[in-house]
Amino acid sequence: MHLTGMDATAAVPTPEPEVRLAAVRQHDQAAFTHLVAALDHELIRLAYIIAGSREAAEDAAQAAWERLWQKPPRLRDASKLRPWLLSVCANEARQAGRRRRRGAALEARAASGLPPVDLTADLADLQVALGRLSAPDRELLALRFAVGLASAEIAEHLGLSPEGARSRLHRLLERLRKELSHD
Amino acid sequence: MTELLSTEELAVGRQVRALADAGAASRDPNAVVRAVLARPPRRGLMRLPLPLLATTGALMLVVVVALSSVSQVGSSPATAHVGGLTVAGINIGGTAYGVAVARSIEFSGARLTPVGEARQNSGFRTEGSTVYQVNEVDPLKILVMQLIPGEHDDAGSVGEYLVLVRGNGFSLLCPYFERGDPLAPSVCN
Repeated sequence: MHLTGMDATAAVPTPEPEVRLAAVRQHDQAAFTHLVAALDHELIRLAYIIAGSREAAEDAAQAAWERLWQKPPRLRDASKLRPWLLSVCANEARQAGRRRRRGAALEARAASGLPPVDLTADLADLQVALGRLSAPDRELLALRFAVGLASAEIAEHLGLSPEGARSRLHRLLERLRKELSHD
Repeated sequence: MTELLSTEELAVGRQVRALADAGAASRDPNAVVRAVLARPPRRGLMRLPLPLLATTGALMLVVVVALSSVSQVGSSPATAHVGGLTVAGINIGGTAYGVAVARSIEFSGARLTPVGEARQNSGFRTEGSTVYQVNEVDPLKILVMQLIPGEHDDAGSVGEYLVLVRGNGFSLLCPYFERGDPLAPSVCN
């Protein structure tokens, strides 16, 4: 049986905060706060799937906000602000993930004071399985299911053809499904 | 656009979403903003005016990646990858350009004139295929392409333009580096 993929993302909101970019460029703190309120959680969700740690995810999102405030992008199309933020955050998360694998996250966790993430056994298994994927693969999954982008948007975001993005998504989901069924 | 996912695949997708739900806590936006405002501005590794274009004023050039030995395609292991993407050549109108690691180049107020389309773009995520001349800089030696925003280079910087270099084009950048700067192109030393 097959269903359309839209079902998987129906509950994910799609904020439209791009109109605030001009105000942010003028260092309008209220506009910036509105943007943060609209998109921060989405950034953290994305980064968490990529980096695998709450601390790294929050750091990645924070870095994206700092960059936006300190050096807002010169986007010809303001609707690209959200993809820009997602891209900056994903890159920060990838770097954080690499640092984490080198052990730095243990120190960060000790210092952060954030509560540990309490995962069910299924989700813990999934996190382990995600950790075996490459960071770009985790990013693709995160964009699809944690952020809720459609395949065409993911393709544009990752520089893939729409067919390529869909094919990779199928392949990744199938791989995860097999791994999880074996655990 | 929709793609067809099996019920099993959708179940895995829902788990990914549930994992994101579990791991990503909501934060107080005001606290996030306060933390941003409390941070000192990030400092670029180098920020030098481009005297070649002094008459036009506002062009600023920021090169934040080591430029050594990149005038030839894939010329050294240190320059073989940028942000995980393979460095390769780009052919524009039959002329081959090497792709510089100096992808984090930023322009302010520069005049970018479209001069053609890149027929090959191996690996880099650029905004379209249009290549630009930068003000009066020799387009046979240096061109730029706009990068998709947010991409990091190996130094962790986020650049806006990909630099295409031909031959010893990097020598044009020497005036913008201090003598002995390790980030300067090798041709400058």
